[in-house]
Amino acid sequence: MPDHPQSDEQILTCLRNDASREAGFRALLEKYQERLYWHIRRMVFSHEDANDVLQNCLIKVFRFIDQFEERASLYSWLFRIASNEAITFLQQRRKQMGISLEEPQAFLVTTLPSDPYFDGNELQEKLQIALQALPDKQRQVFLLRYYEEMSYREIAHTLDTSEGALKASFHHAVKKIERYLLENIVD
Amino acid sequence: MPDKNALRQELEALSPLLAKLQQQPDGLRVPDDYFEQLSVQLLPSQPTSRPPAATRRTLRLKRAIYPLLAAAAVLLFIGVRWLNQPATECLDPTCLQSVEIQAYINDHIQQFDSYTLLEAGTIPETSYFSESVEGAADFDDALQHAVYTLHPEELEELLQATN
Repeated sequence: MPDHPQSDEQILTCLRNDASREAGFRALLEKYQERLYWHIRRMVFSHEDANDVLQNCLIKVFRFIDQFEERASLYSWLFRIASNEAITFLQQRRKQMGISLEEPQAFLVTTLPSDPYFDGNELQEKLQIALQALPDKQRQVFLLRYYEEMSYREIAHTLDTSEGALKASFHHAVKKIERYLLENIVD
Repeated sequence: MPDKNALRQELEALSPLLAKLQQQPDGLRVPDDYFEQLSVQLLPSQPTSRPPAATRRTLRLKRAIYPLLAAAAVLLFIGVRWLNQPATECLDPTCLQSVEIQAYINDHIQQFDSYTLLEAGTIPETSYFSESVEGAADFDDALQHAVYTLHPEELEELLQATN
């Protein structure tokens, strides 16, 4: 059993062995925690919310690792869990706060400028608002392609959707965001 | 595997603005040392390795023994209760033989108050004492004499009256 597992296969082997489970989980955290965090963060925007969702995601990973069948890569499986947890969180928050589905980004317009964990310029601010205006699943596709730079094949494995549908979804998302930025940026 | 070149070309074709923004920071920040602290927060809450083999054997042994001990305790309790239960007495005179009835009366005659017996009407004052006892010094002596001379049916009536 490797002392410091690096590859996904080594990490999985450690996680499935009782004696090395903790070491495997540490290795998984080292390798994936930041990427998972940022994906979740861009889905939910708030750092506090992202922290909660990430912890729920990692607890599920630890609990259900024995059920991972390796039909997709560990990387895809982790991002699927993270995406699902983020979407579930967003749906629950919308219900609790009565946020309109027609303008889901409306709350961000007032909160973003004063958010302590955001220090972007005006263009970056508008980009965040435009992202929150996308439907959850479309935003998910956009983020995996735009920031994670996943191929359409990898995204298809992660989200269990066809590559064609993903490409169309991403193209529409790009056009929507561009239109919003061009309409709302003051030069 | 990252698909950087294909993505860059795709974005340039779709939106040069977003292609440019993709290369820049997005303005999102995290608290200092957040990721360093994350594993510390998560790992203490997770179950670590299983207990060592010797402890597992002990646990299995305990799991096997505890039900047996519980069953033995129940049986012991039942046994003690059974041994200590008071002797049942047949209160139904019809199930007793005449010798048993006579023996009971002999053993418990002192508990029988002669006046209780008379009040019960089981022992006619005149029938026994006047017919069977001659020269009895007092009522009690006469009663005791009558007991030894009573027939089983008469003894049965006497017992029912006292009960």
